[in-house]
Amino acid sequence: MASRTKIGNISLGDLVLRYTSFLMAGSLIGIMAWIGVTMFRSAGESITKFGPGFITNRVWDPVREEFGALTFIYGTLVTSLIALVIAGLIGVGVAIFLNEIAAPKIKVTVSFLVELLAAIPSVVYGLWGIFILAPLLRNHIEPWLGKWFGFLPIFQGTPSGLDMLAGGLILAIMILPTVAAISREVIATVPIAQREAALALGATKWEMIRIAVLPYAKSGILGGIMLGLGRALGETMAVTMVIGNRPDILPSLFSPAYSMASVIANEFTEATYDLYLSALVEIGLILFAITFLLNALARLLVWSVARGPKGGHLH
Amino acid sequence: MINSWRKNWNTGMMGVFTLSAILSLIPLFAVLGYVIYNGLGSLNWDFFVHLPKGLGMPGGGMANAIVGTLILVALASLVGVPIGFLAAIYLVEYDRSSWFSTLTRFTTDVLTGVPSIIIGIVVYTAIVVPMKHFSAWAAGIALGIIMIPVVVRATEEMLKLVPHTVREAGLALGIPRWRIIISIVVPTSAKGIITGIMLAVARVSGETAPLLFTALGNRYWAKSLNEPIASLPVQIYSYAVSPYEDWHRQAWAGALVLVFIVVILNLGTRYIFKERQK
Amino acid sequence: MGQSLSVRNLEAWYGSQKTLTGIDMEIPSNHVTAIIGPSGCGKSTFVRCLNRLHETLPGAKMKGEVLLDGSNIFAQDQVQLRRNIGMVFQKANPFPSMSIFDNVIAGLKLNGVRNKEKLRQIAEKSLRMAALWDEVSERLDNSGMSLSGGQQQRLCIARALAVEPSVLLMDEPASALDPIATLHIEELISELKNQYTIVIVTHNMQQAARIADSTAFFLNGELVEHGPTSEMFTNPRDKRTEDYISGRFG
Repeated sequence: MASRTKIGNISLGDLVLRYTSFLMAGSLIGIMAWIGVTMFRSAGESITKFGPGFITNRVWDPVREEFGALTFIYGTLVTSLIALVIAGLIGVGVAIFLNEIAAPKIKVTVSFLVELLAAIPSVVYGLWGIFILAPLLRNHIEPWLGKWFGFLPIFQGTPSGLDMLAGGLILAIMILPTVAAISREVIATVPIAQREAALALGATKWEMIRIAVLPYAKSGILGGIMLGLGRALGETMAVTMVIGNRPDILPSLFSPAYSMASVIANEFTEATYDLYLSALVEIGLILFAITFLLNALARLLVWSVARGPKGGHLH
Repeated sequence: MINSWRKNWNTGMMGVFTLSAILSLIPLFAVLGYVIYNGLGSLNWDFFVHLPKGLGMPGGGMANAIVGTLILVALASLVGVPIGFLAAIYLVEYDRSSWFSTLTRFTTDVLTGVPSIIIGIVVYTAIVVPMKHFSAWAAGIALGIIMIPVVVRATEEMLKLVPHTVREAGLALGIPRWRIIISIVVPTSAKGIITGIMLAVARVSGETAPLLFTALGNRYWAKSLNEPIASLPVQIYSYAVSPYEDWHRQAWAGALVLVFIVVILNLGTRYIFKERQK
Repeated sequence: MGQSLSVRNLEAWYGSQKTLTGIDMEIPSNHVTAIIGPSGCGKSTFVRCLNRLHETLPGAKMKGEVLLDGSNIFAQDQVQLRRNIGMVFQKANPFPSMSIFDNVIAGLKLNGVRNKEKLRQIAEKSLRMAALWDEVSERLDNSGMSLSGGQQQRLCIARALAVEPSVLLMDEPASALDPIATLHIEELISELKNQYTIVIVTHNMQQAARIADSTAFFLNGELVEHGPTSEMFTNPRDKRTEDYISGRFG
């Protein structure tokens, strides 16, 4: 009987459970290390051949065996930035709405619906993006933007539909739940005493939010935005389907571009020789490194507001 | 009296926040609406039981993709659930505060943020290449790795909710630790843990990127787990980017099925949770 | 100068539970009125009704009439009312993201006072009134959280005073403080009553005896007795008051 069998003073069952579960916990660290090491090793050939210039090189030419990641970094950064700004503003706005304005029933319903946004698979967003969003952009929104704001270089040129604007918008929709959920949690932890202190001084609701809630929740919200950014940087399918997949660096949001994850998704299985594959993995490594750092920083920020490790709802 | 400018500003800002909430829901309805609208028309019996037809030929279905997804999710769960569950048990029942558990928890959090395509690359390099072929096994492992941190977090949260008094009562009765954990603590949090697992499954069933380099895709039924296998997300993707209209229609239908699965899983967890709180 | 408060048939609910039943009370100006009673008797609720903070809690309701210097507080805008009736809370709650100086002038800035010189003057005046100026004048830019508990509470008092209210509500202001800090606060209150009307909730009867001009005894949401402090403690009219004061319950 496992409960009676003992080794020394400890029952066999305890030993088994303890060490098995310990191994499993350790495997997480192991997996993380494995990912890091594998990425490094596979990217090795490309790293040694191209060095740091890989990051600044615009050329991506499999035929001539010259590879540079700049175009993809550009596409990723631009679309992610668009997503950050939009999702950041709306996400925090939703969080404030849910915490400070919404009646309990509305709060529950709206929170659920926003979370549902996070559950929709990337490929479905991509599908919708290709057939619904892109035509909408190309035929209506982008011409309108070009007409009224065309003095800005980002809104110049022929509307394509499948371009950086589409990529940015889809990403915004996809990271919105992350930003909103974390901001919501963080804002909810602002103590009532703080809110009442502001109200007792004769503050309006908005003023209370402005001087008591937001400053207190600031770093947590920032953490949430960073996590959202991390998600946006690594998002693959939806972006691949709407960004246009053309390795160009152009200022206009109406032009197609290429993101880091997209080029990997598109060309990985087509890579016919080692250096090609290695270059693609190196792009992946850069992506991995950036998202790793971003996530680590963001978690620290959010943990510091919650005063201790928390998790579970954090996607 | 009170400055009407301040009052107006207040009303305005409240309006802005309400507007954000409305704006955030528009995409949800837009996407789901179109998926239902476009997908419903193409959903028919053929879709569920037939294999894809040749390039551009109309008709055929996604039977193999649907089954493929189910198989892959099952494989992923085989990997992800035990590892995640046991790891969480360790973090809550045996070691809550050492440097090791802090590091593990931190790693788990960071792991959730690793782009899934990276996992795909790693599994490709470490498993597909040495095996010299794509396979359902490799895909299952990749998806399993993605599942692990989600399961760890959810399980950990649930286990933590069980009050210490419960464990102490067991210890006072002379019941060994492992028995307490397995027969008392876990069953108490079972519903919540299952919810967490369901959400992890929902997440993983929609993943596409890692499958591109591991399962690849298959026009036919996979005869063993050692070969490439079709899956719903990958099929949707290839159809969507193809030039054939009929395939586009099927992509919408596939998307509807996928969204349906995911939404049911999400709603199901809510329902289970509600029951739990009664 | 302080203003008076007139309470007529005030009732309050929290959810379905009635927390205050028909309170009738006169709170004279430039007077310290103490509210005493056992836990849960409604004294905090009462005071929070006076500046309409009670109704900001979800599920809270109140009914009745409260006149501030003759005008109904329910007919006024809440925001304006809270400028006239200030509040100090049980646990000091300075804004952690603000410096000492910014904390004091927080209310002023909300009201549109921008003139730097004026802000500085009022800040100094309020800090002096709160007996904190000497201790912080050299470090006004430090964070509000860098002060001790007692100092933080005096900072909150200064913050409340800066907007120049006519009534100051204090909800167990010294309960989280050590005896010396408590003494400071009590001395402060005795001085402030010359300029303000003060209502102080306290669970400490000796404190009420020390600083209050009149005292009101609450029990189970009801105002049992209200009168000059000395009378209340030496010759209470109601048996329940007598039982509470002599420690038979509480």
